[in-house]
Amino acid sequence: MSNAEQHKAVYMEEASELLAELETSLLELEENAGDAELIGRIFRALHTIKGSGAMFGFDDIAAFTHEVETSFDMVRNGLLPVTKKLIDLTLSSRDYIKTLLDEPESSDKQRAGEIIYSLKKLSPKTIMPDDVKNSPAPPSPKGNESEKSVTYRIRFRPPVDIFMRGINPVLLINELYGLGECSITAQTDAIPQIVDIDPESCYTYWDIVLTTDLGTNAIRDVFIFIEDDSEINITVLNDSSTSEAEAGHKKIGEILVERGDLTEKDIQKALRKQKPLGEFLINDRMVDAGKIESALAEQKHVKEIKQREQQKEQPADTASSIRVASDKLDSLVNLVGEMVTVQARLSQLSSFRNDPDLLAVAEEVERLTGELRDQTMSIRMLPIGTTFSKFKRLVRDLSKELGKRIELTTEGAETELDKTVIEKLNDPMVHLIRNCIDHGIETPDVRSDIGKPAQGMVRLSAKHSGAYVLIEIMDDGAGLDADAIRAKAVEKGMISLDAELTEKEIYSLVLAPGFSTAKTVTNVSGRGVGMDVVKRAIDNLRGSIGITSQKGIGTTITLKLPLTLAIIEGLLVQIGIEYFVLPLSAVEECVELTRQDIANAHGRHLANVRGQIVPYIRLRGQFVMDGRPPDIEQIVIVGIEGRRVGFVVDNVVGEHQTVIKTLGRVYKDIEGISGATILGDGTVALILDIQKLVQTAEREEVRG
Amino acid sequence: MTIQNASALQGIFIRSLESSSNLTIDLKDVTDLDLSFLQLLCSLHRTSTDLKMNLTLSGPCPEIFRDAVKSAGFLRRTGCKFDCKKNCLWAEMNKAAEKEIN
Amino acid sequence: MGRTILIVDDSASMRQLVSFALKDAGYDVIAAVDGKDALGKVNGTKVDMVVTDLNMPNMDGITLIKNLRSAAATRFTPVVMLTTESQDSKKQEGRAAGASGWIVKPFTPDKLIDVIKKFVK
Repeated sequence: MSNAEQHKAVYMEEASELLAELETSLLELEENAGDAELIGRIFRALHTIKGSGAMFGFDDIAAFTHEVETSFDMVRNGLLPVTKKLIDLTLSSRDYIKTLLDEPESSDKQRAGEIIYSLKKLSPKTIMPDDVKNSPAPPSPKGNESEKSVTYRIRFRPPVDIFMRGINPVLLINELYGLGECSITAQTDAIPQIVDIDPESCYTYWDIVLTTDLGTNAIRDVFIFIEDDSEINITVLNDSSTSEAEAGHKKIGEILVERGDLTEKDIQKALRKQKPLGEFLINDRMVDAGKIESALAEQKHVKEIKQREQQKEQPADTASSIRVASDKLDSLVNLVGEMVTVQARLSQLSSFRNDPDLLAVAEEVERLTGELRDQTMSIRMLPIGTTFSKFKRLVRDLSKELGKRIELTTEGAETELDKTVIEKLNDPMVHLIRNCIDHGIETPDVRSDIGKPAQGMVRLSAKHSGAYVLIEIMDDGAGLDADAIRAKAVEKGMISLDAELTEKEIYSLVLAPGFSTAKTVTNVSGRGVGMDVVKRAIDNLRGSIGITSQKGIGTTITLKLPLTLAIIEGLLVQIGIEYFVLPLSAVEECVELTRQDIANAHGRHLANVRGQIVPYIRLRGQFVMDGRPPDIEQIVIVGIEGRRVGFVVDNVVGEHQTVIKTLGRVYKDIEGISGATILGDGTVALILDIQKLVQTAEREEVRG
Repeated sequence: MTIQNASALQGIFIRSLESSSNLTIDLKDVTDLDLSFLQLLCSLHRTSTDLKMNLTLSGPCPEIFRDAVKSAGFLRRTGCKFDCKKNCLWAEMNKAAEKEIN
Repeated sequence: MGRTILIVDDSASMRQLVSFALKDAGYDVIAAVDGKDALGKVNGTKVDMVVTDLNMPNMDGITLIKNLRSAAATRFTPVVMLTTESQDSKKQEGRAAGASGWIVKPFTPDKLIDVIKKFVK
């Protein structure tokens, strides 16, 4: 018997019992017309027959019993007296239900109609309850809703007593993730001080941006149980059909005004101060930072959705592409770089002049330049897949040569990277894959012996992570032998015998010049010129290498590369009158360095940062710069290969996105400088090559 | 650390504010937490900031705590308007999380 | 972590159907035949959620909800009531008593699980 049949059988049995009980109760009620207990029992019997009947597919029973139950609901509420007529009719109803249950074919529809008609005639005219309308709307059929995606802005403020009703609002908002792309920002400004808070009340409310094709009913359904006492505002931000018309995305100010968090007047006031709007609004406490936070989230969300849509549309247009010589592209990028610089100057000038017209033009230029830059950079982007497919051949040939069986799988071939990065990535990748095949993957015999599948696996994957692309080369081979590496490093004098190294540090020794652990030298690799070459190549791309490995299970090498070489997110710092830029990706924090700190360190270049000793490099000394440092200097702490190193500067100016200009041939060999950039006011700032600087300092340390 | 013991926790928080000037909360052994706990932390941070006291979350941040903060939409980049010392708990966590990704 | 749900209904077939659907979705289920029985069962067992019918002998669903809301251990426990479309006033009464939500009979197992998921992870 199937589950459904089983459930039906149980229902039929139960219904028969209830009908018997109904009969007895009705007869008793005839004797004691006022017995509320009896009326209750009859009502419940009818109610269960109806409710369960509907559940198990006895729709006729449910529909008919509903009418009888309605009458008895009125009896229960004292609206209908218990009369002989009523009992007669109810008994007839009971018999009819019995027929429906036992031999539905022989049931007489007309008889049902007569009973219901008579029952209704008993009821007072004014009350003909038709509650169906008030019940929660059934989920609307999907066909009625438009199929296209719409982005909604939702503000959800649950009732303060929501916890007391056993509802966890977080579960509800997380349900929205199931409907589509969703960004959620909690608003905490209403949370009182710890002495005033009622810990069992909910003070939090949420701003949500959701893109879904399921329509507002689906959103309302999420909050169905609390929609009466919650504040739920749903507004349509855009749908895909109109998104093209309103090119560009909304400004933060517009979003805040639309949400009613701010008035147009406030915005005008704020704009006159010529600071970034968000910063000003927070400083002036005109609006809570949480509101700005969620406005920013909305801006980002809408932008991402739009980009995705554009990408979706792209495949159809691929036919209309044209080939362009790559040096034309390079010069375009250069021009855009100059443009960005000029634009920064324009913005700076216009803010000094305080001329509203000029400001408006400058803002427009800023927006256009930003877009132009992004577009130009995107032209240079290529999917990494082409490179990946080249390696298929390499793996095939190599494994044959070495008598190994290896399968290459790839993932994220569509991930886009700057063309130059891809080109320069080829050689190091070849090297890494060779290493995997040669040192990593064991021969089929060995693999079978240790219970691994005879065929080894090398997996290449690429994915985006912020302004970076992560490329992983994973194998399921023998893994790195930490002890062997260590022994070798000691033998080569790279580390002392008693050096305490973490696993990560040991693995990174592999990247040092002149290191090779392979016991035999093969044609393929193992001449000890491998990994340091890879390391240098990746460094030149401003990337980094991470190695994780488990002995016997495999090795994963992760390359982290910037999306593009042409732009750097930097931290602008000042020493004397000169400006320098450090790559922001490496910067961990900035701390102060006082005279007292220097005195405490007794001449060593070490700073105590929350109990941790961080070595630092005095850039003023490194670049032999004149002048006296300020009393309080700044240490910019960067993370390099798992270590923390500080750079001492006079002053930290702030974040700075710059277009890199390569230095001319004359300056090419200067260590510690990787390029230059031109600031808004025309000054040149040098971009620091922090890796080189640290290496140089270490060498000097050893010598000194 | 759920709504069930939120009242008790509020008492503990208030008492510790009275007895010490630097508060450290170790989340290591938290096994279950909900929105009420996040609200209490926010509230405590607000009060301790007003009283010029330090409130820090110590130790490794358990997965469960991070998940709860994230799914409640509490992760943020900037502090709220009460956060004059610029050490919003959630913003700090967010920074830590972003660093991990990089 | 396994979540335990208490189903309270005087109808054996409903109890069976609900239990079956919940177990199928991976929840632990205990059943009670009316409000009184339910109060006895939450006393001593940790229950993560309660699904209750409204019309039951001995103690009806509304009284059960009120009792659950006033007991320390179940003050914040989600309680969902099973109603029929004719019971809009009951629904309001249940909400006033502290019910977290409701499911309108007839319902499919999927619909039941959708509602359950609004309240327990």
